[in-house]
Amino acid sequence: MKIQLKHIIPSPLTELPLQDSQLWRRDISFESNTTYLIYAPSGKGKTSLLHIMYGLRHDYDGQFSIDNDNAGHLDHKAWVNIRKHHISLVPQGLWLFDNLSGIENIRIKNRLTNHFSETEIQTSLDVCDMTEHQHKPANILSFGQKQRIAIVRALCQPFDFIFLDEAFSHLDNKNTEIVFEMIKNRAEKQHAGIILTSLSPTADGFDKLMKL
Amino acid sequence: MIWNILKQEFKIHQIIIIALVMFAGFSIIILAARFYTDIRPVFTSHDLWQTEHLVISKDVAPLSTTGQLFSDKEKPTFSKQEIEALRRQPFISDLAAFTPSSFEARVYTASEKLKGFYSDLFFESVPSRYVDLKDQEWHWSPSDKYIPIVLPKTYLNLYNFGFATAQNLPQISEEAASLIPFRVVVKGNGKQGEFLARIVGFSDRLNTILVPQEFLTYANSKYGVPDPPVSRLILLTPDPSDTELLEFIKSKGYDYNSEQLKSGKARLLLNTATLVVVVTGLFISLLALWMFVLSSQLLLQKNKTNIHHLIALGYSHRQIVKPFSQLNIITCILVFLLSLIPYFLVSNAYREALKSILGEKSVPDFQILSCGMLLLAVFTIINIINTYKAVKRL
Repeated sequence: MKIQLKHIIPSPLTELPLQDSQLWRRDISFESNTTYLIYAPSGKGKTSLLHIMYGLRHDYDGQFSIDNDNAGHLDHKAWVNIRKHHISLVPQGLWLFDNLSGIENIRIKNRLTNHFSETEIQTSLDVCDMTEHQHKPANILSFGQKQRIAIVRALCQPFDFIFLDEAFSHLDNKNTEIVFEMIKNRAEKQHAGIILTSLSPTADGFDKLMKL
Repeated sequence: MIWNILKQEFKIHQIIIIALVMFAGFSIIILAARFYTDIRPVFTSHDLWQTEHLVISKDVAPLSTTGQLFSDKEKPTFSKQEIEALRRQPFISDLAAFTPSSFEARVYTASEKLKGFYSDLFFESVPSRYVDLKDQEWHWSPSDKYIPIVLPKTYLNLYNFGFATAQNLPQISEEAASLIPFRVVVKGNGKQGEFLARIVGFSDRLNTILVPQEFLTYANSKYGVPDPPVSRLILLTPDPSDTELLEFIKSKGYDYNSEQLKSGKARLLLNTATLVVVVTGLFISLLALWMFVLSSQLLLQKNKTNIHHLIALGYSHRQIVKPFSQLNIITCILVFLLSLIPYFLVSNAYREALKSILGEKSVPDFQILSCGMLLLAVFTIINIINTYKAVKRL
């Protein structure tokens, strides 16, 4: 899968001086099978970029295409298909359902495509050390625990790209490494691309670094 | 699963209140329909004289029976011009003259049991299209054995409750009366003839002794005058209680049979009353629909964030609307089943109370209930479409 941006800029950012941005108002393309790290301080539109490419925001200038299809012309049905089979997202706010337990939050995603078996879900939870917390309601989990639930949830679907919006912000280095390894394994199996946003370009092992 | 997310904002008492309002509205509608179809035949009971028929005659002038008995001018008959003028009126769709008999006629009972009973009488006829006899041919030809006769029901009552009691004669039912053969002796133009006759029906609304037109055409030309003057007219009008029509008739100094108008008015009253009840029922149902739509939208608004998150996970609008649709359908089914209780209780109760005047159900229950079901289905579809639109707008 190939996502091409052509002079994209979110409407609220049009006033900002963005000459040194490697993304806004540039022609850029993201290819699957590649890992990207997009870094910028807060307020530069990291989340906006991911939301635009995930079809959640439409208030932007310029255009972008997914596999040469103009994304501005995609309808609800097309976006549902993309979100189920082609692009997975770990949102910055995680978007867990507070009244559901961790495992239920995962299942509600998995039942859309039945991509994971129950065993695979348990294995993934085990890898990120969440087995014992999985039955707690999401609202009593710590943010770091929620992040891991949201990451496992995002893996419960086939994808060509996975968008990780500051997905490791509340994990220690050790856990970040373990979880990122798990994501990379999954992505490699599917020849998928990874786009991680971060405040600073500290993480290693990315094919491309981009300053927003 | 989606429902697990939405349900925390869901208030069961809201849906119960809505269901109760729906239940009230729906019960009223189906009961009104049941009552209307049951009671309607009472007012439109099959009489060979349709309610759309109005009989008019001229007022009998006070002096015409005494001093000026032979003055043609005073005779209460209709001239050709007057008939043509009536025919031109927009509120009269058809009209015909009553043909009177212009000969002497006397009827004898030809039965052993009622021997010696005789009476002088007269006949009238109207074109056969005005006579709606069930399962009976309203025709006569000289080769026929019997002349069919229709009598006013009051005649039979007069005999049964007056004459028969006073003279110690047997009382006769309508069915029995139709079995009695009569001999009709007619005289005129120096000739005399004899026919057999039988009563084929009684009418509540008709005030004459009716025979087929063919018989009078034949008998008038043989024993009387071929075209006797017309003293009564029958009008076919879409609405016999139309004030314009009645005022026109009055302005011309004509008289009409007011008795039969009462039935028309009663029917009008029934139609109006039913309409009011059905409109009330519909109004309550619409109120319930509105409440349902409103509460669905409230639930959606309260779950706005959750719905955004579901959409972000890859859920479609349809999948999100599904639990709302299911709730709606289940509610409608429950309301329908619950309404069957008052429907059958009340309809059986009034059928029992009005047993004497109600006949068989003219419209079966399943027909009314399936119409009701259709209404609920429309109701559900409107609500689901509305919810779907609301989800799309979120």
